[in-house]
Amino acid sequence: MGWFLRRVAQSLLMLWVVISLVFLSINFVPGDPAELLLAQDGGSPDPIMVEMLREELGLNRPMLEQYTRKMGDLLQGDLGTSIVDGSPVGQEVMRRLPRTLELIGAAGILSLLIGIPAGVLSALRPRSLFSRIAALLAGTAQSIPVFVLGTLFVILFATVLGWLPAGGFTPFGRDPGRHMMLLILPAATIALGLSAIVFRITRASMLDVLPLDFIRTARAKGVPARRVIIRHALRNALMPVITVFALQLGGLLAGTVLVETVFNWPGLSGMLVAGVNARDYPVVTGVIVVVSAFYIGLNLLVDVIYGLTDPRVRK
Amino acid sequence: MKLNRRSLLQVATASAALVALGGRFAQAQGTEVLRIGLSTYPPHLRPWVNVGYSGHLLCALINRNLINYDEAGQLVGDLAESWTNDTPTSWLFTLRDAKFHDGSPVTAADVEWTLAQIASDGSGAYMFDALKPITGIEVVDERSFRIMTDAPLATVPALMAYPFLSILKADSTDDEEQGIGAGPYLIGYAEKGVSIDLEPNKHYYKEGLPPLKGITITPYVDESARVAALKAGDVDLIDYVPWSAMAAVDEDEALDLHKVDAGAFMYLSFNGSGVFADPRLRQAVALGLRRDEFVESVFFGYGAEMTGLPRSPSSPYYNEALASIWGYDPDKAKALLKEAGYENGLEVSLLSTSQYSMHRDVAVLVQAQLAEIGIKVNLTMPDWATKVNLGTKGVGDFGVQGIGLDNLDPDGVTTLIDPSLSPTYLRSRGFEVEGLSELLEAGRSELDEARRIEIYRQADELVAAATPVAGICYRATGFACRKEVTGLTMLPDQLSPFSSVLFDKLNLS
Repeated sequence: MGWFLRRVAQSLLMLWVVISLVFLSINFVPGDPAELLLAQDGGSPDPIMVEMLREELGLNRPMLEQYTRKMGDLLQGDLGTSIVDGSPVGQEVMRRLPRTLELIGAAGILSLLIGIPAGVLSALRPRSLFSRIAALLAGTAQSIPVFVLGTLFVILFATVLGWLPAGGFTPFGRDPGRHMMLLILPAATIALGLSAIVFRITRASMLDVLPLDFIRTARAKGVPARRVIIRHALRNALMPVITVFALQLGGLLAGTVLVETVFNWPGLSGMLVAGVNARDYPVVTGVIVVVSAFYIGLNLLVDVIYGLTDPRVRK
Repeated sequence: MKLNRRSLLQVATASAALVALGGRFAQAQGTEVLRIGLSTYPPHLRPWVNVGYSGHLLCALINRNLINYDEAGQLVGDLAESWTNDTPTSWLFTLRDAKFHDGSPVTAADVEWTLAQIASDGSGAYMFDALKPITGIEVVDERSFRIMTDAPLATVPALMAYPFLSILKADSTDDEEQGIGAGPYLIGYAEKGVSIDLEPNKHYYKEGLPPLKGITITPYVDESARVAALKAGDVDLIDYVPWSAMAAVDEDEALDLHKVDAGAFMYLSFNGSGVFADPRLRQAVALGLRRDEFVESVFFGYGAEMTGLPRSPSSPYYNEALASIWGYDPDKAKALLKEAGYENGLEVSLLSTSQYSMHRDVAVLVQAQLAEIGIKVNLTMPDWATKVNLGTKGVGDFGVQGIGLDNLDPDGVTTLIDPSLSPTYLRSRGFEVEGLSELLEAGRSELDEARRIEIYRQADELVAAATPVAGICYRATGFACRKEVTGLTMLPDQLSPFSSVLFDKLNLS
């Protein structure tokens, strides 16, 4: 229990450090949100109006006061309001978070469906033609930037074949069919690179497990081959796969910006980029707080699972 | 479910059916709801605030001004039926029989309320400064009113045609931030960053318009995604066609490209706190640029050279003799450098931004071309926000700027060419052009057109001699649509980005 509480405390400390660093860095980056707000599309803001707006937005207050106020708000679960449109950041994050989670969730499932079977088959016959081709494809998939892959998908499936929409988003509640159609291409774009990672880890892990004594014993006992592979070998080989997969998903939470841009998917990453461009401090801090909390939470979960399965970790 | 060959086959068949249905689905959109792919989702729906060209497109679909422009760039009545300058300091307006979205009539009291809201402190309205000369509104009766000014002001009709000067129903912003307008459409559904559905305004004052059952606006921030959506048939019309894609759109038989070459423009502003206090050096820069190369390499040939102030050839204020003051003349540029004491070269810093390719590419080309006449240019190219911040502080000897005009009145360029106005990142600063401010002031208050033309001719001559800014090139404004879209017309020249004031006629054949 003490070990668990220590890990939780470490995670909270990490979150505080992240928030503080984000707050400081964005405030020290040049660029005035008030000025930008009044200079939309080439407007020429009056310096007096800029000053008035800065006062209204609280940007003229001392940095320490702004920081203390921000931390106080965050402790109460208030992510603040957007400087650009005055909308509550928490509300907008909660609207966009499910879209991004859905995107990376669909991509994750797709990548597991491709990566794990391919990794297992490749490990069973490491020198076969299939294994070599799979390794080559995995290398290729990992090396193609997502925006290139996404653009190729759009050209092929939307412009040339006309099978799928080029991009956009329709809420599931408004049109479930359209929603799912719009999900396919961005999810597949992310899944391709991710499945290559899952494939490689699964293959390596299976290659480590397959020569072990307990596998040989199971085979010697006459356990059917499929059962040995799935129940004995794969189950033991999955731990590193899950670890890497979970961390990859955490990273994707704020890292899908290119895919969101190419496919016009209104998720969290796009919100973060727009926030940075407009120097919308509350939006940037709000998104990063949520993403960091999610990522740190995933890390904590993986650590706890490790701790439960391996007592040495708890020491 | 057990994974076997049969189940795998079932999954594959279902997926193929889904894909096939999707293909049909993508093409089976309603034919009377126009789908627009917009370059940005408006940051907010607050009226009167400048939300950029794409925000203006939505604004023009749901709201109306008192006055607007027609296809020829002439001022025409919109909610106002007529206007006249009844005393030197007042303009009498008469409203037409128009109604707001809720069916209530547009009255003089609504106009009075609208202008008062814009003039109130903290309104953030785009026209806050421009309307300062207006001292009050006198309501004559329900459909007529007077706009009073502190001095004779010739630009009142042009001011009323400015973008983001929509007339809203009095007190309507209390309930919804966008208020109640009198445009051809009203917002039926809006999800931030996702889409906006517009419904036709059955009370719209123009007979038979709008012809569509509705409009769905979807933001496509990435320009490639926007073009791809149009080509794939996901949308019927897009704004801000990227210059790199204009040729391909133009060649596509399923698409129409609507463009105006002399749209918004790129120019150089000067900071007089350094060497550019000397007008000879400003002129040397202006004469050292081959403008056709900017049009070709930065805008893929879709634009026009900017060799003089942006005065439309159809305007009475256009002056042929002053239309080519910034031609390419390297010998004269070198002679001016020598005369100013920089025979052995000059080193200056240029502020631009790397965030937008047109600003970046223009800066790089300026650097390359000025090197040929002996001016070494050091580039500072941060992101846009930093550029605005540094520009406002006066960093850089000169800067790359891009802007469009929001009216065709000759006074429209005053804020760009008069360096004595309060400094902003867009404007030259730190020097004065003797007599220019006085002439521009006289032009604003002169009500006689012939005398006004003469005043602006003199002002343009001062600009030619002093080079407070150096024009580079116009960039084409482009809308692209599928062939089925009809009724798309554009405003001329620099007004073209605001063409959506004419979009009440858009239809699908």
